Amino acid sequence: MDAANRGGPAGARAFEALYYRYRDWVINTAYRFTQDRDAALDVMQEVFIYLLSKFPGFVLVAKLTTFLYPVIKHTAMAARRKSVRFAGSDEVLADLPAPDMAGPGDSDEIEHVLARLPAQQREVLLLRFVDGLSIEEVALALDIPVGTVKSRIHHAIRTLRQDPVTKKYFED
Amino acid sequence: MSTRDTRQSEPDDLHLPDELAERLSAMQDGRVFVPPDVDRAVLDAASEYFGQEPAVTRRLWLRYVGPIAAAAMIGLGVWIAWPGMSPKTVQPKPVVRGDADQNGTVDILDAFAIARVIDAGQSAPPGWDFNADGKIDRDDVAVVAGLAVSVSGKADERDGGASS
Repeated sequence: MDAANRGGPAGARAFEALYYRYRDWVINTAYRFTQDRDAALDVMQEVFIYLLSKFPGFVLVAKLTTFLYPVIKHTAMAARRKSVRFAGSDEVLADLPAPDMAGPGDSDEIEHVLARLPAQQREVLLLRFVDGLSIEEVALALDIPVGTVKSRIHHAIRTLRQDPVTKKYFED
Repeated sequence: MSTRDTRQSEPDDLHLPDELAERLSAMQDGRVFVPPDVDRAVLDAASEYFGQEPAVTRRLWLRYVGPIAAAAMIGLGVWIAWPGMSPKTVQPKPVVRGDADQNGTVDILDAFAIARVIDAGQSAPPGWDFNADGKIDRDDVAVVAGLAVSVSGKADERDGGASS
């Protein structure tokens, strides 16, 4: 990050390293919102151009993912709102398409369970257990209280614990 | 990007079994292939932003180096061969002091003409000994250059080759 803040050829190289380190995470996260590969690619490019504009002078006080997540979400929502003309981000989030049914068998069924979760619960669940953010980092990324994050995770896990497809994972 | 090292200390109602978390991760990964031209577009933008010429532009510039060099060589050849510009066309006894190319005026081209002959190691006409020291060298170039930039010098030195 310091090298990128210095600019010049060293800055460009540092940014390239950042790009390759976070690219896949950004594109997969964008895809969660868009459920469309081309739209996810557009979002990814916009996110990195936005990140670029922060240099020099970019001071990161937490994980880069906590900084990037709201940018990805906002960019994806804006693109989606533009295309479907929804009013608010929560409505857009609630109306997000269910994750596509990639993969055979059990994975397919887990996708269905995930798709049935309320969007806000699914969001914190993925941030916490797929992206590996701590509860505090999830709260920071979503700009919501830690207690709210815990509550959403609690309800999501309770649903998974009771669902016939996923409850076996809790029995081991 | 995934880290799951903090989960073990969480209460059960906030803990997802590792196997299920891994299945979720596997489902989320690699859904979108990023084409190389998208990578290049972002990184070229970064190069430009950081003041470094992007690779594509560098290649474009290099593409024109050959033609530019060839054109420069042709231009130089024409310039040397052009009547009145080549040192071979300079007469040995200029009428105006410093007018090495004998075009009637003393200008910086006269100084260049002398310098070119000296640098090429060619024998210079004896009339080019403008400082009358018995040899034709850089000092003569300096004298002609001085005359060329001197506004009053032109008129004063039109003496029919006073120094030669």
